[in-house]
Amino acid sequence: MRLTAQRGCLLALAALAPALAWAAPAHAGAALPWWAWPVLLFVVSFLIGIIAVAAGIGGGVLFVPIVGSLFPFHLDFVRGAGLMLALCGALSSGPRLLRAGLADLRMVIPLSLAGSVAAMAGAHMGLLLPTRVLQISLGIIVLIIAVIMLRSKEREANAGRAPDAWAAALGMHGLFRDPKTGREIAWQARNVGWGMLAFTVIGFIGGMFGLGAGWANVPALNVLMGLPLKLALGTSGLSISVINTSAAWVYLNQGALLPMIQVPAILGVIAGARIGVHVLKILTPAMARWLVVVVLAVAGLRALLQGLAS
Amino acid sequence: MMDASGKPDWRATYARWLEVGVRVGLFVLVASFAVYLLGILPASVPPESLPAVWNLPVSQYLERTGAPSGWGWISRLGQGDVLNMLGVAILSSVTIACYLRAIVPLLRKRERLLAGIAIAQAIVMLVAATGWLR
Repeated sequence: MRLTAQRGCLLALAALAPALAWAAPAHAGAALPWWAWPVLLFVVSFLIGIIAVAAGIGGGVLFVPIVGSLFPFHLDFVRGAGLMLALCGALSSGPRLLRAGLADLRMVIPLSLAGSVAAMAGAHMGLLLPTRVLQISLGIIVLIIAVIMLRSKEREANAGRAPDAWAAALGMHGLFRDPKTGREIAWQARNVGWGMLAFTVIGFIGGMFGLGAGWANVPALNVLMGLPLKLALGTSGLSISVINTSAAWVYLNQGALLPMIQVPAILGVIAGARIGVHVLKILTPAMARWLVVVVLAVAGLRALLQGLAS
Repeated sequence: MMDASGKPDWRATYARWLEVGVRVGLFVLVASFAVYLLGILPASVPPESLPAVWNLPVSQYLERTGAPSGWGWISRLGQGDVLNMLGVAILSSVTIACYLRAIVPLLRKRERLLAGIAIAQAIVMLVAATGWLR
């Protein structure tokens, strides 16, 4: 009963957030003192961190559309902060994922090469495009991500299928031991060429909009390439640490990283992620996923309308 | 994660380098932000001036404030806000260092294809870092 009440309160709060986001006029609160913005940014990033962990995604995909439409910062700096936020999260979790066998470096190295070249190109392209075009594209992309998240389903690993030539040459196979259940799953990658193509497209979008890429990497690794879901989650995280490195240098060299935006955002998401682990006990992954879909749909629609109106 | 000779596997070495690099990078990022906020060092753009410029596209922001781009930040580390770039640069270099460290054991294990891809990836990241493609 108490758990149901807690879930109800959380969902009510979460449902209220997109409604408030929708109602808030763009750049309202211009009269606030300067220090209020980083404080508000920390609070919003903290909430994003909680939801992101509960839904099993990176924070970047929520951060850019939400902060881009609710805060007075230019989209160039929001995208830079989103990218750094995703990079820091991926770098911090990397050692733990590798040691626990939850990420496979043999998968990461080839896939990230395709992704990082595309992410660099995407970052350059994003900084060249007019703000209006970027905002409209961001709205459309975020709405597509919401649909992908709504429709994505877990698939079992495909140990019985023969690996393709690239997977065999690169040793993309193994025995994954689920640390929670102790169950061992034999896996071998397939569709390596298609996987690299998927990482190229995802990397370009991630670099262009600073979105991170877990929302698409995980289905690509699990559904397309046949990795067990938990291994796909960890491998996706580690690959973001490589792919976003190239794009981060582009943003740094172009001067598009503002400390006053990126540091409160990074600290907020890290702090929120720690709380998110506890929220997981209250919120089921399915509920968290629905929550993210609703928030993304509202933020995406708002970005799209703002772009069309500007 | 040990190899046949009982030494740490190349993946364990990668994880160790990653862990140390991220700790150093995050510490520098947060410490330099505190320096900026507390006004310990003079800033090229003081925090109270930011609301007038943070809504501008990056090209106009750089023009208006004279903030550095490219590797220009290196020569201006005495400014509180520019000092933050040091933390960002460390965090953006950790993976490059991990890759460079992983290439040698991969070549020793005769994993030529994987080592070749890792070398190509390291070159891509280094090219991005140089800013040649700006």
